[in-house]
Parts: sequence; C-alpha cells; structure tokens
Amino acid sequence: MALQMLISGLLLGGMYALIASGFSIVNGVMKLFNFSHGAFVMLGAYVTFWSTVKLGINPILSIPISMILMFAIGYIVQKYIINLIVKAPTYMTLILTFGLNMLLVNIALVLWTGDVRSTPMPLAGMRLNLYGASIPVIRLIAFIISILVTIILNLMMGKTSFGRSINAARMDLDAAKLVGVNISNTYALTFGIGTALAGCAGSLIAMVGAISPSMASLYSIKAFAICILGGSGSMMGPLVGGIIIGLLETFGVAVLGAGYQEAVSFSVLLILLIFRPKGIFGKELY
Amino acid sequence: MKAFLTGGKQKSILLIMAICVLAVFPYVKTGYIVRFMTTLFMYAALSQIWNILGGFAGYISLGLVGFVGIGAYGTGIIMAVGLNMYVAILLSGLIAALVAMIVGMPILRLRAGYYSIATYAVSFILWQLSNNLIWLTGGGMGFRFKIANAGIDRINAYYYLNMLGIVIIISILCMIISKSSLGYGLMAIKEDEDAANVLGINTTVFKVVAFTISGFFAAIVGGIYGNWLTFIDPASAFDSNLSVMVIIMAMVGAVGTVAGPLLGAVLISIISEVLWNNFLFVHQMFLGVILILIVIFLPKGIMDIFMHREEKLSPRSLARILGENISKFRV
Repeated sequence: MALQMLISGLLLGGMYALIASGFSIVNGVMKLFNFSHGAFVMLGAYVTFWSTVKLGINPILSIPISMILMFAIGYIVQKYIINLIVKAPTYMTLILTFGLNMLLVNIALVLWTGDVRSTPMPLAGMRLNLYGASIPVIRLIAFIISILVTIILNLMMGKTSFGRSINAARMDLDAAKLVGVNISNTYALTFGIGTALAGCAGSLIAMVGAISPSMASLYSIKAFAICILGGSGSMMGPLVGGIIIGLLETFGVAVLGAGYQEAVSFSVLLILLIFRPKGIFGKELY
Repeated sequence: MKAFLTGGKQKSILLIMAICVLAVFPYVKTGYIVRFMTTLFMYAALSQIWNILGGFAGYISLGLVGFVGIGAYGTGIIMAVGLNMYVAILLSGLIAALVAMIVGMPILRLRAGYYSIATYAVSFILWQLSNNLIWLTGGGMGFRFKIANAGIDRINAYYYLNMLGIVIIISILCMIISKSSLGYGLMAIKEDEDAANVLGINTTVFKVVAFTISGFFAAIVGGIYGNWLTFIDPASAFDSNLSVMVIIMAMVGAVGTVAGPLLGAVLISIISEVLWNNFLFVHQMFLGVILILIVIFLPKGIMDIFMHREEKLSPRSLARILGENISKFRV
C-alpha cells in the first residue's frame, strides 16, 4: 500500500516538476510571477485534446505541437505586452499576468465550455505490476517524458548561446545590455520557453486525466508552491519540489480524504513562505 | 472636473446632498435597481478596504474574499446561537481581525509577489475548510439565515441602507487613514520599503495593522452580505471572483486614493451590468482585457488623468499621458 502511494506520488511529482520548471525559469530570470502559467498549461492540454479528437493525431505527437504553439503565444505576449512593464514594481506585473490569466481562461470557457474533457488514449488502462503496486503505463510514459524534457531544458540553458544570454540577463541586466544582449528578445525567449514547458506539461496532463478550463488557476498556484519549496532559478529546485509536493498530496489524500488534496499543497506553501521562502535550492529570495 | 476635485467646502455640501439623495432613493424607486445599488455599495466598500493595503502600500491581496466569508459565516453562526444581527456582525468582525492578525504577521514579512500568493492560499484554505467542516458550516449544503418577516421592498431598502452606511463609514475611515501617519507609512512602503525600514518605520507593524483593519471591515461587509442573501455556501462566500473584481475596481479607479476605488466600483459595476446580457465568460474576458490595459496605460487608474494636471484635457494630452505611462517601465 505504501509502495503504491510512493509510486503514484512520484509519477505525479514528475509532472508537477515539469509545470514548475516553466514557472521557475520565468521567475528566476525576470523575477516575474506569472499568474497565467496555469492558463498555458490548460491551453497545452486542450491542444492535445483537440488534436487527438478532431485530427486523430497520436497524443504523444501532439506534444511538440502544443509546445511550439505555446512558445509562439508566450513569445508574442512577452515581447509586446509584458515587456512594456517589466521594470515596474512587482505588483504591476502581478496584476498584468493576473488579467492575462482571466483573459485566457475565459477565452477557453467561451470556446470550449466548462465541461470536463477526457482524451481518448491508446494504451489506456494498461498497467504494470511492480511488487504489488499497480502503475498505469500512460502515467509512467508521462513521467519519463517530464523528466527528459526537464533535463534537456537545463542542458540547453547551460550550453547554448541563448541559454547563456538568458543567464546573463538574470545576473545583471545592465551588464548584459552592455555586452550586446538584446533584452527584449531574451525576455521574450525566456517567457516562451516557460510557456512551452507549460504546454508540454498540459499535454501530459491531458493524456493522463481529465481537463477543464478551471484547472488553470490551480496549476498556477501549484507551480508557485513548488518553486517556493524547491527554489526558483535552478534545475534541481522544481524537480525536487515537484516530487515532494506530489508525494505530499498523494499521502495527504490517503490520510485526510480527497477534499483536502489542494489544501495540503496550499498549507505546505504557506508554511514554506513563513519559514523559508528561498526554498531548498533557491538562488535568490525574490 | 478639476474644480470639483479641489472644491473644498462646496465639495462637502455636494457630497452631503448626494448622500441624502442616495439615502432616500430606495423609498422612491423600488425593485431590481435597489439590489443593484446595494451590490455596488458592497463592492465599493470592499474596494476601499482592499485599497488600504493594496493601494496605499502596494501589497496586492488576492484573498480579500476570505475575510468576507469569515464575516458571512461567522455572523450566521453567531446569530444562530441567538444574538442580535449587529452584535453578531461586530463579533465576527473581531474574529476576522484576530485571524488577520495571526495570519498577517507571518505573511506580511514577505515581499509583494509572495504575499499575494499567500493571501490567495489563505482564502482557498478557508474555502476548503468551510466545505469540509460540515458540523460548523453545513458544508456544500449551505447555511441559511433567518428570513425577516417583512415585505421585499422594505427588506431591500434595509440592506441598501446598511451597505450605504458601511460605504460611507469606510470611506471616511480611508480618508482619515490617508492623512494619518499610518497612511503615510503605508505609502512610504509602496515607494521603497527598504528606505522606509531604514528611516525607522517598522514596516511589518504598519502592514499588520492595515491588514487587521481590512480583515475587520471586510468581515462586517460579509456579515451584512450574508444576511442580505439569507443563504450562503462555501463557493459563494469564498468566491475568488470577488477578490478579483475588487482589484479591478480599485485599479481602474485609482489605487492609493480615497475616491478612486469608489469611482472604479461604479464604473465596473455599470460595465458588468451592461455586459451581463452576454455570457458571464465574455464579461470576464472583457474584465481581463481591461485589467491588462489599465496596468499598461493607466497604472495609477483613471483618476490619474484628472489629477495633478495643469493643462486642459484633450485628446492630445491624453495621448501624451498614455505614452508617458508606457515608456516608463518598458525594456
């Protein structure tokens, strides 16, 4: 029984880690709290849903599609909207992304209604058996993809030139400008990467469970909680944080009942904020 | 408009006349519009309350509805024990103030973004608690208040006047705060919290005081709200939409002023009412767009156009103001 919960928690945590990675990059580099992160997760999920249902594309192939689409939207949003107020006091960017969230979620509600949707998956219902614990194959695949994408992302950030310019912008904005980094582009790129990750995570969520527009706010908050726990701006942070939160939620539901699933994450979030806002691997406080 | 803002004595007389007109209104014209106005007053009051910490100090609370819910449920539960409505409202206000103090002390040590998420988390947890503590709140089945034994017009008028009273009280309170050392301290925090700390302002104390005051009055509004609706359930009492609307109203009006949130509340209520004929979702979409536009073009709210301007208002000067606002923070 404990093994089952452990494995379920791990699988859930891997996906959470992916959601949080996108949030963490944007937060770490631009000090931006993207309240609309969950909305991009939701949009990615719907891309997968509709491409599977309407176009018959294999859900796994829809992941690159949703990532590219979300990247594009994110890039444009950052370059032409958020860049206008990036240097403003935090509360202004907060409210902006908040409004963006409202906009995106309600566009989704208007277009696709609030009905809960479930993506028809090949391999649905197949399970592996490991010492008495039952592992749904789809969740395992989602977990593996999450971890792979997270690792690839972080390699990219370290090795490629745009990864370096993103890091430069994070370390010292003016110095980066002096050495010729195009800040507007770099920020747009960063945000785009963040939303692409969100889209990927959303696609995986669509593969694994049911989706609806109202999931957006929930995932924004969870991403935030995980980044607080693990620390923003690092690779291990969201990964470790995600897995811990995944485990906490799974065990929490077992102990307290399903009605308290979110309350567990939120309580953890609050406790962390009070005692250690920097998180486990955090590089900066804010 | 400029003359109106700086009028002084004339302004006070006009204001008192306006209040008298408003007070008599529900006896002159009854029906839906009285309920609409009551809702408007409620939002205006909540925007003012939010403004204390959000507008003056720049600490955006996303969870104001949490205290409204405490007020609504608290009042209901205390009234069920047998106490008079106003006593119950006051008591639930005190409970909310206590909660605010306890919750506020840790989370107000955080900086802006973290604080906002914490407030959302708090209101969310309160929602889940009220959902799950069925023995206390009735859970998803909701909580019923006693329905008064009077005609609908009289009841509408009664709550209209209550809400009007609250709005007036809170506006006066905000005016007092804005001219007091608390207000100046909060505004200093908004400008530069580190500098304020260095100058000897104990920022945490100021923030906690403001937070406690907000919690107290939000609960009072919640108590009236609950009694007015006579039925509340966790989803409606802790509806995060309310927190959002309040923020929009305060931002559109002008954060950090006294008249701003009132103006914003009136504007947004009217716009919402007009858009209500469409889907709820289109109306929310529109509000999202408004929020984005306001943050980009008029971060100080609509009042920014009118205040501190020496030149006459014209399309040209408006364009100039908007242009200024865009170029300040871009990258």
